[in-house]
Amino acid sequence: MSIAVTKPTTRRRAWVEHPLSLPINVSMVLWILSFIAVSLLANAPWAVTPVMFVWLLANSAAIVYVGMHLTVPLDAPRKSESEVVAEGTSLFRDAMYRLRRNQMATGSMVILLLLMLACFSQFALFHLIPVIKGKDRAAFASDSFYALHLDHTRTNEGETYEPPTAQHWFGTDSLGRDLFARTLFGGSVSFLVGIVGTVVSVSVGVSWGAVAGYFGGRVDEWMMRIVDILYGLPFLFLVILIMTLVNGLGNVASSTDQKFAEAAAAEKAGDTDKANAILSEITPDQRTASIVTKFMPPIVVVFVAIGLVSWLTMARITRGQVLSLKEREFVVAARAIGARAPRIIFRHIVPNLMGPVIVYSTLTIPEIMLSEAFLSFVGLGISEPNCSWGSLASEGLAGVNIIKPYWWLMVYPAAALSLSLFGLNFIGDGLRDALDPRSAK
Amino acid sequence: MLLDVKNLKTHFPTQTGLVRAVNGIDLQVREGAAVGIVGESGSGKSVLSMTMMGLVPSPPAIISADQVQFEGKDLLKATASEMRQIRGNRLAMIFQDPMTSLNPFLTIGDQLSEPLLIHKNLTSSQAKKRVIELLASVGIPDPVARYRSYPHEFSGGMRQRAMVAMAVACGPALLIADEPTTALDVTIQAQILELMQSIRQNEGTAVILITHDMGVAAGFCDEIYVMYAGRVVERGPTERLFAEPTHPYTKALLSSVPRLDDPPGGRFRTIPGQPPDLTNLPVGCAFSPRCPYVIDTCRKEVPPLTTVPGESVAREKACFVEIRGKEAGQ
Repeated sequence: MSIAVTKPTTRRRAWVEHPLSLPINVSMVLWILSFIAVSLLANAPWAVTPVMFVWLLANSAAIVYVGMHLTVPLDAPRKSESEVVAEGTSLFRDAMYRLRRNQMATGSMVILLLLMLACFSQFALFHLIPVIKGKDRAAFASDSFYALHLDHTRTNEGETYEPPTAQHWFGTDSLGRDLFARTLFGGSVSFLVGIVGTVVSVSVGVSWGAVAGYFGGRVDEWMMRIVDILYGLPFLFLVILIMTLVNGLGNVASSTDQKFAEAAAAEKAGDTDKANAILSEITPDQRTASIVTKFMPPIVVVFVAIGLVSWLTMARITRGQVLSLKEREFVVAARAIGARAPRIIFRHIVPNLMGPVIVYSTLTIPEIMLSEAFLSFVGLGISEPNCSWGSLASEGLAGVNIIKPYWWLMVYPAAALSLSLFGLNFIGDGLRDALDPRSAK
Repeated sequence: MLLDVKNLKTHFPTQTGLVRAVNGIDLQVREGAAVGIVGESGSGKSVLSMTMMGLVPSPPAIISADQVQFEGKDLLKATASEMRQIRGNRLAMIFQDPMTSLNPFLTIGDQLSEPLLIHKNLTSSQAKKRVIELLASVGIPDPVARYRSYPHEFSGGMRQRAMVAMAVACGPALLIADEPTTALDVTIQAQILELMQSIRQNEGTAVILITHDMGVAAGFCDEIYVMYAGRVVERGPTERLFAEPTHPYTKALLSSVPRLDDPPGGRFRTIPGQPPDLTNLPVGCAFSPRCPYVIDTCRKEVPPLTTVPGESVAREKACFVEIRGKEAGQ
């Protein structure tokens, strides 16, 4: 008589059996099909889109690979009590263990990391290679790797609106700029906006909400009414207002800078009187504008402006949590050892908020990236020659028409944007499940 | 006198009326003494301790007293920052539930070093050294490794030991222990009480032990205060109070403790009736509706705390009736 041995489920089956495997597999297939459809519609032969195809395959492979190897299989036994004790786990480590079991979230994390790595390496190499090689950006040979795949500002009159080729993997735009480089650059801008905006929104929102919730009473009343009022104002209206003001400032600054340049040129030519005349025309306000813009370029203003209007929900979430946390006994205990309010708020209460805050901020990053995309779409935000995924998609949309569809202009940036938005949302969901101790399986 | 409280009142205005949680309490604690405060749930024991610690938010609470003198300073007149200097430093507290009074997100070491960082201006490495000594002194094995543990990795008894270590970290003159053993099982209870006893003997720390467990109070304290409905109904040295209670409530409490020589199968002796509604106290003695010795005066006047006659030691009771040697209903 043989002893019945339960056959261990393979990792592969664990991936297929995962409840979320159906939606992600279906969406992968749909995604590939849509690319094929677009390629056919554009009458682009397969040969010219190998990179796109490889890129897609790599992404799909990454998801599957991650699902199979990096995550803990669903049927893996949970570590025994003694093992856990021997390791010594913090709540955070425990949460990370649960997160690793979530295949969607882990897969998204890897893809997102790869995407960010690609984007930021373009950003870094674009700026660093000229410094290392000691030559000007324009001095690179037009068929060098730098000029073809890294320089998103190089225009080429002979190569406008080229579909994806072996040279220009993602095609070129109306000025002959390489879309691959532009997509990567746009990615770093979009990610930066998302991350910096979220950092601003988290730090403002958490501090505001924690202070309001902890002190309660009249302080709470006033602080939360301010939040309510800001809630009442249309979010994009505020950003547009800030951006318009800053753009005005930028215009003043650039005309002032031009005058400075003229004066410098005149001085160089030996015409001191003319230089002095130009300089005396510049008003102190114009000088201030010029200096302010040096320290706060418009791109930084986009970051901060979006961050400053998106902390409201964070403040409300934090306040609600703090209201219940401050009645907990460990807060009373902290007061009993003579701790001051700031210490109690930021050392005892805020760490306990980390769960909801981390979850909400991973969901804030895509939200802010979308806002930035919208702002760039309507023409505020990022200005040429810089670009973001949003501005690229808006340019691309202009290029899509029935007679001559320049589909690649829109598809690549939009796909990259939606891929990262999906990824961030999956990570947010995964974190929410992982950080909730009650969901521990 | 280390702590001298006179006529302390803590009232909470609520929708249904004024809750008189602490209603005129006198309390004296000498240096190094062990004082027990016993009483049933809702008798105001915890509110009393929180009020002395300055942890009852006011407003909404209405706190008044003739004096709350601690080490020559009136705690009720102290400013918030003076109060912070005293709390955790000279006057420390151990909470009832060690499960919830430690912050789950900070390591034990971090939490124990906090009072030292706040009050003793130690550097973090000095504090760490001191915390490891403290952990060892409260009997936590392998304190160096345990310094980095999180509260959820500690058992209930270990957490309460850590709480005791945190409370005594700065060498307080008075330790208020608010039901420190209620959440623990009996063997751990004994260990924690032993630990507190040794701290008291070695450091000369006075302890106020708040409990509803008569056995714990009898074993630990020199002097016992019995509270009922926000007032002290009887106080006296432990042996005399237990041997011969002079207040009907104390007597009823003591007789409700199950005894080993009780006949098996018998019913538990309980105190009939309910504790009074603190928003609507009876006119006279708060215990009068439940008291088997009640006389008419009890329903008209609040009995003052007076010295018990015929005793060689200082004892006080708040009762008009002489119940010693009497049976209920006589």
